[in-house]
Amino acid sequence: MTTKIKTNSADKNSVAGVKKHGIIFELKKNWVLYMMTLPAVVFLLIFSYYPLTGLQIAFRDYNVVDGIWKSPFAGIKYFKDFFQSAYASQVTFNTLYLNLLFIVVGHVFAVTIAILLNEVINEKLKKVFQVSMFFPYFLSWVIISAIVYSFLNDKFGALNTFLAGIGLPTHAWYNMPQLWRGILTVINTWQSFGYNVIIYLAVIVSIDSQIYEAARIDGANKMDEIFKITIPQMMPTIVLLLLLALGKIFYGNFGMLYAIIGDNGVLLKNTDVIDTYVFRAMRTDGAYSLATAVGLYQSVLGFVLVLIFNKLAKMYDDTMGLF
Amino acid sequence: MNRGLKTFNVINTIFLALVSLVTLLPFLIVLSVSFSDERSIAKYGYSIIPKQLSLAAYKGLFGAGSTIFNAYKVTVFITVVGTLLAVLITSMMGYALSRKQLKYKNFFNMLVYIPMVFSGGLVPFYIVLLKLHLSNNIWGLIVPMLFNPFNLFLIRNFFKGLPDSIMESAKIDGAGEFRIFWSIVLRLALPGLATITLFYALAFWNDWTLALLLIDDTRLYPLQYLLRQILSRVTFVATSGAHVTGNIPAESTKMATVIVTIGPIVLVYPFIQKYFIKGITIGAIKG
Repeated sequence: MTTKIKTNSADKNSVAGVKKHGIIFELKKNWVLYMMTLPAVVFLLIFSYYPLTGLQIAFRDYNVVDGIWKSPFAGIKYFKDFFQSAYASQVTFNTLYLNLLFIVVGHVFAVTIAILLNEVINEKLKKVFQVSMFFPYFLSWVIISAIVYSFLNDKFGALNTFLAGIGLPTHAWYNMPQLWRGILTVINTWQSFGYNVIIYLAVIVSIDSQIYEAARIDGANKMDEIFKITIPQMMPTIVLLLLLALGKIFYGNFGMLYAIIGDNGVLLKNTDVIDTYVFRAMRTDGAYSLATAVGLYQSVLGFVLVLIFNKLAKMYDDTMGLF
Repeated sequence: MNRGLKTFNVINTIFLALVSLVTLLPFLIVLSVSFSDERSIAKYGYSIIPKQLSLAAYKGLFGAGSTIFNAYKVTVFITVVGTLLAVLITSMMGYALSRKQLKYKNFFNMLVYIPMVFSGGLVPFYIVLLKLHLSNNIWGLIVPMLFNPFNLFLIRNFFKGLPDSIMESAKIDGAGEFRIFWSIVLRLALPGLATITLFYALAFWNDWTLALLLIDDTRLYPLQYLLRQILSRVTFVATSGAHVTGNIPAESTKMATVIVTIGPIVLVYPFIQKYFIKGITIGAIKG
C-alpha cells in the first residue's frame, strides 16, 4: 500500500502486486472495455489526430517528394499570400454571412412551423405534414442540386416555364449572382427545417399543460398562449441551438455549396466560402500549402468561436453546452 | 370551441398543408419530368404532371452497358458494409463509455470531443487518405466514414439509460463485459441501434465528397457521384450507356437518374421516421 491511497480504497477486485488505483490495475480490471474502444480510438488517431501533424505544411513549400516533414520551410509566406489577396475578405465574409442567413431564417421558420403544427388537432394530418416536411432532409446535396437545376435552368426550368406561362419575362438564373445568397437560404431552409421542427415540437410537447389550463381560466386566448407561454418556454432551447449553430459559423457547408454552385465562376463572388475555396486551391490549383494555411486559419478562428459560444451557452444554462 | 378558434384552426391547417405541398413540390416535378417524353419537355418545359408519359428515360438508364447498375452495386456495397462496421465500432465504444466502472472514460470522451472543435482541415486529411492508398479504392469510400462522434454520443446516452441492475445481475451470473454487451445490451438497445444504423446508412448512401476526392475510376463511381458527373455533363457520354441527344444527356434521363439515386431509403422512410425522430431528440439535447 502506498501513501497515495486515501480513505475510500475499498476495491474488492484488487489484483495482487498491482497498485489498486494505478493505471495498470485499471487496464487489467477493465481490459475488455478498453479493447472495445480500440477500433474507434485507432480511427480517431489516424483520421483526426495524425492529420494535425500535416498542418506544418502551411509553413512549408509542400512537394510530394519531400512530404510533410521535409519540404523546405516557407515561414508565413502562404498566410501573407492569402491575406493580401482579395479572397481573404471575400470568402470569410461569404462564410459568415451565408451561415448567419441560414441560421436566422432557418430557426425562425422552424419555430413558427413547430408552433403551428402543435395546434393541429387531427393527429393523422399532423403526421402527414411532419413526414412531408422532413422529406428533403434525406436527400443528398447532389440530388438537391439536380432539383435546383430542374427549377432554375433557363431553358426548361419549372420557374421559367411558369413565368412564361403567365406572360412574365424569364431569366437566366444561373447568371444572376446577386440573387444566390437568397436562393441558397431558401434551399437550406427547405432542406433542414423539418429536422429543426422535430426538435422544437418535442420541446413544445414537453411544456406542462397545467400552465395552459391556468392561463385559459384566466381568460387567455390562443395568441396569448403562443406568445406568453409557448415561445417563452421554448426560449432556452432556441437560444441554446442558436449559440451552438453560431459556434460553427466559420465552417461553410461544402457538400451543399460545391454540389449546387460547383465551379460556376459567375456565382462564386457571392457564394464562395472558405471550405470551397480551400478545396479549389488544393484540387484545381494544386496549391497544397496555401490551402493548408487557409484551412488552419479557419480551424483556429472556428475553434475560438466554438469556445466563446460554448461559454455563452453555459452561462445561459449551466447544464448545456458541448463540453 | 368559439368561432375565432375554429377559423384559426382551419386557416392553420390549410397553411400547413400548403407548406407541406411546397416542400414536396420540387420532388414531384423531378418525378414528373423523369416520366415525360423528351420532346414534350423541349416544347413545354418542366411541369408537375407529365404532358406526355414516357418510360424511355428509365429504359435507357437500365439498358445494355448501363453504368447505373454498376454504381448501384458500388453504393449498396459501401452502404451495407460501411453501416455494419460503423455501427459495430460505434456501439462498442459507446458501451464502454457508458459504463460507470471505466475509470478513464473522460479521457476517451475528450479524445472524441477535441476533433469536433479543432481539426487539421481538408489538405492534411486528404494527404492521409492518399498515404493509406485509399484513392481509386472502394475502401476509400467506407473507411473514412466508419466513426461519427454524434452517433457515438447518441448511442452512449442510449446505453446510459438502460437499467444498471441488468448488467450487474449478468455479471454475477459470470458473464464477461463483451458477452453482456453482445447478447444483452445490444438487444435491449435495439431502438437506439436502429437510429444510428439509419443515420450511418443515410450518410453512406448520400456521400459524394469522398468520391470527389478519391475516385477517378468510373467503375468505382457510387451513385451520387455518377449523378453529379451526369449533371455536369462532362463525362456523361463516356460513363453512360443511356440514350443521349447529341452530347448532352436528355432532361428526362437526368431526372430519372435523380429518382433512381434517391434510392430505397426514401421508399421506406415514412415507416422508419420514428427512429430518426427519437435519435434527433436524444441527440439534440447533448452531443
